[in-house]
Amino acid sequence: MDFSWLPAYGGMFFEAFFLTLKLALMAIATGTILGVAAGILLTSRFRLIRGIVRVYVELFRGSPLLVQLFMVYFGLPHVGVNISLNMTTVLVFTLYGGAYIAEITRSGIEAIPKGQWEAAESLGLNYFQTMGHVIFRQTLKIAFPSLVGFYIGMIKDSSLASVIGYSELVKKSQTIMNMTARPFETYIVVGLCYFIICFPLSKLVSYIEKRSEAK
Amino acid sequence: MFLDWLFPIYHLPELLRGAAVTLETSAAAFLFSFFLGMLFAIVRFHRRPLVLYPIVTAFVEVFRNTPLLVQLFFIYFGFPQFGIMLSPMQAGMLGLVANSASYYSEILRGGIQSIPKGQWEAADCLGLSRPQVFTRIICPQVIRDTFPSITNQMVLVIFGTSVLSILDVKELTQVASILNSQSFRSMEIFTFVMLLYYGVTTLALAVCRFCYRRWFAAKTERR
Repeated sequence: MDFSWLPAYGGMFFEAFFLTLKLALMAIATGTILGVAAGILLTSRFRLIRGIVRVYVELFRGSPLLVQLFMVYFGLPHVGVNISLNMTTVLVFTLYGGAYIAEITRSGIEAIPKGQWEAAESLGLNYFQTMGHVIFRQTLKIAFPSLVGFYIGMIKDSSLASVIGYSELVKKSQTIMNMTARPFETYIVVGLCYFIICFPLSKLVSYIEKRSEAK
Repeated sequence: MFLDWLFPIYHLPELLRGAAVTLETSAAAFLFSFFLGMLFAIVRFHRRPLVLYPIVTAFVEVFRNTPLLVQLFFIYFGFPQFGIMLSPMQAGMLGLVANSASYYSEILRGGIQSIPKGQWEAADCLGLSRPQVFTRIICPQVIRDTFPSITNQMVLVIFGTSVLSILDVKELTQVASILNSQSFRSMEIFTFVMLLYYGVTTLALAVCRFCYRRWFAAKTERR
């Protein structure tokens, strides 16, 4: 093993690391917004709404992210929609993340005892008030560990964006690898970059889970 | 722009052959990784043997906290540097099994930990040997309790095989990519493939549900 090339390429790694972080954070933010909205709709009283959202969630939870990336990346221009690579990537990650987060939100909402709804109703709160002031914040507490767990997954999954040419850590590392001809060491450094974000987060998840079990 | 939804149907034989490779790969990766994950879980639970425990722990943490794609590249492009040449399928399998085994070890370790101590003691009192206690008493309960997580991870293994397409393993996604580059009927092909994957995972989940009912439902109290 030989890491003597690393100082020369350190800056490039650093830059690539931030690109990955940027993509992951964007995807997490938009995915969470979509997912929470879809999750609330999944608990709606109206069967039609539930049905439509269910189809979306099932489809995107039931197929690999890579196929979704290919479908949007190759498919959208094919049907005449031309959007930039950045937009494509963020769109796919939003749809993908949204589907999983919707399911996390739904199970969180359904875990709230019915008495909470009834109590809110007897206080004269309407649906939106109940959801906003009573149900949702409790849901957040229940869903937090699985949500962070999924965010870790999103950070790791963001590596797949390199396949359609989005320039992030893995994509940049291929360039570095071609210049240094040191694939083994290069991928150790790349792995380390993901590890230093994901490891503390997964420790946080198990800490929260352990604490809530102890209660 | 016009969409020819029959196009994937014309190429159904190729796609189904790809789907068969996906299923085979997933099944093999699942079995190996489950077995390996169980061994890891035992080491992690007992914190013994002393030499193995830190190694297994480090292995599990590293593979759980880095992307599968990076692991695959590491194996496929990195190992030849030391003269270890692997075919795409071998490298993909190795990466997928290592990745999934790490997840299974955490799922199963959690399961073993949540078995009440009385079960171990009662089995000991009956005069069962250590391996017997584990295989006859503890293991079935662990599998029963963690069944939803096990099936969940199995679905992730199926999705994981799609990443092998990047190493040019001719599974469903790679077959679709090849068809796509030949015909540019992207939307039709990938929508169809998405549905195929949905079918494959639904099928796998149905089999799991059947197994669960067959093995465990009668023995646990109805809720």
